[in-house]
Amino acid sequence: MITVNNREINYKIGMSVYDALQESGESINNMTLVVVDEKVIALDKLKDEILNNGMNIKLLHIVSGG
Amino acid sequence: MWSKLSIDMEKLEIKKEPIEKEYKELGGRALIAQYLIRNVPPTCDPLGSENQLVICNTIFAGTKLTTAHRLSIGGKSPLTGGIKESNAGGNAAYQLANQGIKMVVVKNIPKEKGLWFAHIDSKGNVSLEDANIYKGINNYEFVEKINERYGDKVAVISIGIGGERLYKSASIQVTEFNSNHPSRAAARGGLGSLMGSKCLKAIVIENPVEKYKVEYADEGKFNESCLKFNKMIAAGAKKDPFHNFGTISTIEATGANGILPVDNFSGKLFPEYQEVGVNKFMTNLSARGGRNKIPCQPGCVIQCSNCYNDKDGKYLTSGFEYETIALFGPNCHISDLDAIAQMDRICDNLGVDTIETANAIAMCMESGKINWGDSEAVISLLKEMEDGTEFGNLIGNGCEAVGKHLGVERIPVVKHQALAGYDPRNTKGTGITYATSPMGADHTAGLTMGRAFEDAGRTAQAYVSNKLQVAICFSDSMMCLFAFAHAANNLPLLGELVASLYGGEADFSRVAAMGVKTLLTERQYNKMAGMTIEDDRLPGFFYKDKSFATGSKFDINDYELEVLFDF
Repeated sequence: MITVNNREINYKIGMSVYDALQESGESINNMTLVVVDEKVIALDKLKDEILNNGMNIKLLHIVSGG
Repeated sequence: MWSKLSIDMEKLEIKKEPIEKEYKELGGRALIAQYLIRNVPPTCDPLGSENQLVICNTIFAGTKLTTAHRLSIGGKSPLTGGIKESNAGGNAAYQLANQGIKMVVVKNIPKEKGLWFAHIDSKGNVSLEDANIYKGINNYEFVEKINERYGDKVAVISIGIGGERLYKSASIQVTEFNSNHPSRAAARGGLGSLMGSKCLKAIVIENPVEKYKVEYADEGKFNESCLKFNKMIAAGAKKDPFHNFGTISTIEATGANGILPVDNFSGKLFPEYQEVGVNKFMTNLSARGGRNKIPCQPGCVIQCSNCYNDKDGKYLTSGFEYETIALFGPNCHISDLDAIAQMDRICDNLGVDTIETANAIAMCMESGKINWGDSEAVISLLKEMEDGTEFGNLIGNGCEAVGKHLGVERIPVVKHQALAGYDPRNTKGTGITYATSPMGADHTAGLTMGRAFEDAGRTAQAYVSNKLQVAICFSDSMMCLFAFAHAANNLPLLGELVASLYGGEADFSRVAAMGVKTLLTERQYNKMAGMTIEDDRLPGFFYKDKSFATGSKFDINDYELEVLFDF
C-alpha cells in the first residue's frame, strides 16, 4: 500500500508519484510541496520518481512566505 | 494594568508608568502606528533626537494564545525615511509581558558620548546601566557576556556594530527561546541604527519573580476561544511546510516558478535551486546534529525555526530562513548552503538585515566588483563590514547606496529598501505590495504568492494585495504571520478573542477596522514625511525587462497602484 495524505491506495509495481496522486484524487498546484518519505520531489519530476511499496506521500501547501 | 517603560536618553532616566488609555487596547503594529503619528514628527531626522524607538507587545500579550508573543519595533526608518514597523520572534516579548510591560519608548539622545543598556530585574526594578565595556562587541559575544552577568534565563534585545555604526541596514536582534542565540531579527528598515543613535546597546529582561496577571473582560470566554484558536493553528501547522521543514520550503515553490530571484533579479531560472532547498537542508541537519521544528517563542505551535550546524557538527546559525537563502544564494548565484549559513551567522552577529545586505552584495556582483557565485569573496566583503573599512561601511548602508556608488542600473529597491526574495514579475500581487506598502519593499506586508496565482488576472492580484495588506496590519498587531495564515479559516474568532479580552462586541469588523486604520495612518505618516505617489512604484527595470523564465513583465500600471487604497 501507498499512503497519500494518510489515505491508503493500492500499490502497483512501477507506480510513480504522479500515478499515486492521480489514483488518490488529490490535487496539487504550483504552491504544493510533494513529500515522499520526508523527501521533497520537484513538481516536474513526479512522473520520474518511482515508488516502493509502503511509501508515504504528504502534500503540504504553502500559504505564506517568510 | 499594563505599564509603559519610558527611557529618556538625554536625562538618562528610565521609569515605569501606566500605559496611556488610548493605547490600552492596541498592540504591535497598530500601537506603533498610533503612537508614532502622535509623537514623532514625520519630517524629523531619523537619527536625531525627535525620533523615538518604540518596542511593544501584541494585543494578546500575556495570554496563552499561540504566537501572541511577537515583538514589534518601530520608529521613523533611517532607511526608508517613512514609518517602519518590524517584528521578530524570540523570548523578549514573553519576558516583557511577564513583567507587565506592554511598551518601551526610547526618546532623545545623550548629551555626552557613551553607551548604555536598560535592565529590568526579577523584581521589576528598571535601570540604565553603563555599556561602554560592551562597545564594539557583536551580538553573540554580547549575549554570552550578559548571560554570565545575569544568568541564562534573561531575554536580550540588542544591536551589534551595525547599529553602533548607524548602518541603514542595521537590525535589532532578539534572543531565541531556550537557546538564547541572538538569531531572531527585527531586520528591516535600519531600526538598529535608530537604537544606536540613542546610544542604547540593549534591553535586558529578567524573568520576574511574580508574573503579571492579564485583566480580562471575560476570562472564561477568552480561554474557551483561545483553546479553539490554538487547536485550529496546530491542525493547520501539521500540514504547513514551515512546521515540517522551515521557511526554506518556500524555495521549492519559488525556484520552480520563476519567483525565486536569480542574479540580481535577472528573471532567469536557477536549475540548481534544490542544492539550497529542503532535501539538502534536512540531510545536513540530520547528519550534523542540527534540529528543526524549534519554537522561537514559548507556546508556538508553528515551530518553524531551526539550528544549523557546520560540517564538523558545531553550531553555526539559527533561524536560517528562506529570505537569506534566496538572496545570498541564487540571487548571488551561490548554491553552497554552508557558505550561506555562514553569511547568515555573520549578519546576525553584526546586527544587519540579511535581505538588505545580500542585495548589496548582488550589486557588487552586477558591477563586476566580485564574480557571481564567489562565496569566498562575499564572506570577505562581510568581513570588511565587520572591520569597518570604507567599502564595508558602504555595504552597511544597503543595496541602494552600494548600487549607486558602483554605477549599477538595476537597483531593486522601493522607498530605498531592498526587495525580498520574490521576483515581482512572477508574483504580481506581491509586486503591488512591494510598491504600495508604507513599509517599502516588504514581502511580509502582503505576500500574495500562496493566494493569487498569475492566471488570476491583474484585478485579482490587486484585490489580494489590498486585502492582505489590511489583514496583515491587524495580524501584525496580534500574532505571528505564520499563525495568521491558518487563522484566516475562522476570522470571527479573532473578534471573539478581542471582545473577551477588552469587552465590547464580539465582532470581527472591529478587528478589520483596526487593520484599515493602521494602514491608512501609516500612509498618512509617509505622506507627511514627504513621500508621494512616485514612491509607490517598482524600479523601472521590472516594467521593461521580461522575466526569462516566464516572459512576464510587471505590467500593473500607475493608475491601478494609485487607486489600490481608495476605500
